[in-house]
Amino acid sequence: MKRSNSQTKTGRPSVMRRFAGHLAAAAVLTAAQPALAEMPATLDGLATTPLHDKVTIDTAPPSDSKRVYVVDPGHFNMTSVIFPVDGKNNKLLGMVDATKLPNAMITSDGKRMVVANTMYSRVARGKRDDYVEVLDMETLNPVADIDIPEGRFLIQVLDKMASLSTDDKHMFFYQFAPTPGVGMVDLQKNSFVKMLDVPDCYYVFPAPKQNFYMHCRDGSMLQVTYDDKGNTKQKTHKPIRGEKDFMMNNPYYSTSNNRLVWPNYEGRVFQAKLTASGAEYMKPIEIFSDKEKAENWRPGGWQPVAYHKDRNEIYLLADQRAKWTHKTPSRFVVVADATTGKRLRKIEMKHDIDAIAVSQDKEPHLYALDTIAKTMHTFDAKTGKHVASLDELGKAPIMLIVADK
Amino acid sequence: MKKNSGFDSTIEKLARGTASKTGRRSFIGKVGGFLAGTALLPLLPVDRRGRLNQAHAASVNSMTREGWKPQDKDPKSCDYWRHCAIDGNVCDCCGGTLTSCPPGTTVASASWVASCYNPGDGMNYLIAYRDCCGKQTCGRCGCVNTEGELPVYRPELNNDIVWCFGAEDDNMTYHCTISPVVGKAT
Repeated sequence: MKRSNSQTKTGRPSVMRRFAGHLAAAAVLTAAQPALAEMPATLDGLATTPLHDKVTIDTAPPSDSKRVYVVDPGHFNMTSVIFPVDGKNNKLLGMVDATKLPNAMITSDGKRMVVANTMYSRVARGKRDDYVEVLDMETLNPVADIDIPEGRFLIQVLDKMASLSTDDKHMFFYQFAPTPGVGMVDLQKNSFVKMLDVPDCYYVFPAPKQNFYMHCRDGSMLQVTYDDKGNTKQKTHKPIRGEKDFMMNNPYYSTSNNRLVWPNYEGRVFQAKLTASGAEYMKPIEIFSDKEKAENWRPGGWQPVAYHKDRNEIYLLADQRAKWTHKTPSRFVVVADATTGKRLRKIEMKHDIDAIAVSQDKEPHLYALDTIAKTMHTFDAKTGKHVASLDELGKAPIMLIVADK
Repeated sequence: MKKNSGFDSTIEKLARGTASKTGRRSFIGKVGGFLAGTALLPLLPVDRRGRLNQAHAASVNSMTREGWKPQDKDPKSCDYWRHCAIDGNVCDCCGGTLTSCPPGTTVASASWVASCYNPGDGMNYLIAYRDCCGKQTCGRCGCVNTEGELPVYRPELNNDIVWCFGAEDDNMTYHCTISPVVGKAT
């Protein structure tokens, strides 16, 4: 319609087409060659002298089963850092920038990272802007930027306070104020879908066939079934824990096999299988013997539990500690059979550890993060032997993310 | 030490009872009503934990595995009795005091409450931790104390949340925490 009008007015359609073609070519050129940082006019030729060496920008290798990500929210700072680490070679691969208390998630193929962010226009004040960034994990460059409502729950980083769906098609983030809700993002259309109303429940544990579960104040598990438009059906399952079971804040949950492993403050581990057909609870396991309990063995740390799926082993960060010290770090990891609760081994790490994670391969690594020392230690998960350490990891690294497969 | 006073038990029973029967806002309202006569409404969750490491990095006498051992002499020290469940930076070290926010910040209008034992007089007091907001994290006197602290699904007793709720200009950005007394808990 516009083109027709232009032809009538100018009477020179071919010229206009040519002009439009030039414009399009210029636009393509601009897109292909992003604007460069301004060069100071006062520089002499020495600064831009051609180099003998070839300078390049690296890409990270494809993710493997020993890939681990270190999340550093830097003392609740306005900016955070996420470090991708090649766990096999104990090598830092680069850095991902994030904002205040980000939620970072890895797609099931390990090729993408999805980060939910919150920024302010004037550092710590001004206009709030929440958004989701999708990054390629080889170039570490953003490939999508999705605007979301400014309601993301700002809390110390927790692994499942935001989650990818089991098919990686959607991302869900929790909203605390003004009312409980879950934000739904379509990662195929790169668009926000809607806020889902939920009751007084927390976390997002994804399950197959467009389901996720939440944990509610009274201990029950809420099953939410959703369609692509964000319409939901909700069903409440019986409490998984007792009223006096105070659960550690960072449970283990596998998106690939839907296993929930969740210790309370005293070392009693509750487990569940969360599927489209319902929530199946397993018999709780006591990690500590009566003798150990008498000696004040308890879990402690920020990310205190890991699980190896094929080996069916629970790893729990623990130490001898007074009651109500559930966030102070621990020096030991106790390993137990996830079905029987039988103690398999105890690993002494000889460092104060705040977070652990276990790779899912046949020769698994136990990753252990010392927040104060800003150092991640790697152990052979089967023998407990120290393998490597990686230091100078930001300001306050506090959480680990490993490949789920 | 009188760590589990009758008042504390009452608070906990109230919290449990109402929590199991009501939604969060209703629950908050009931607790707030229980504390009639104070300016402590609404009683909503507070933040903190993640400040953990700054807490670790810069803290003096923060909680250890040996547990909470309060003193009543030095408010800038993490083991000062009012800080029994603080997770963050003590405003007294950041240009404020135990009861005032540093210049240029905004103050939350909601608090997370804990019951702390004062070894000076042997009494328990209700402390309303309020966040000062609108600037970067202060970074000084970081403390991670968790006496009586509960998981995030019990937010009114959890110290990991950024609780700048009600701060001016929608400043959901944490700077430091003050520890005003609500009243005696016994």
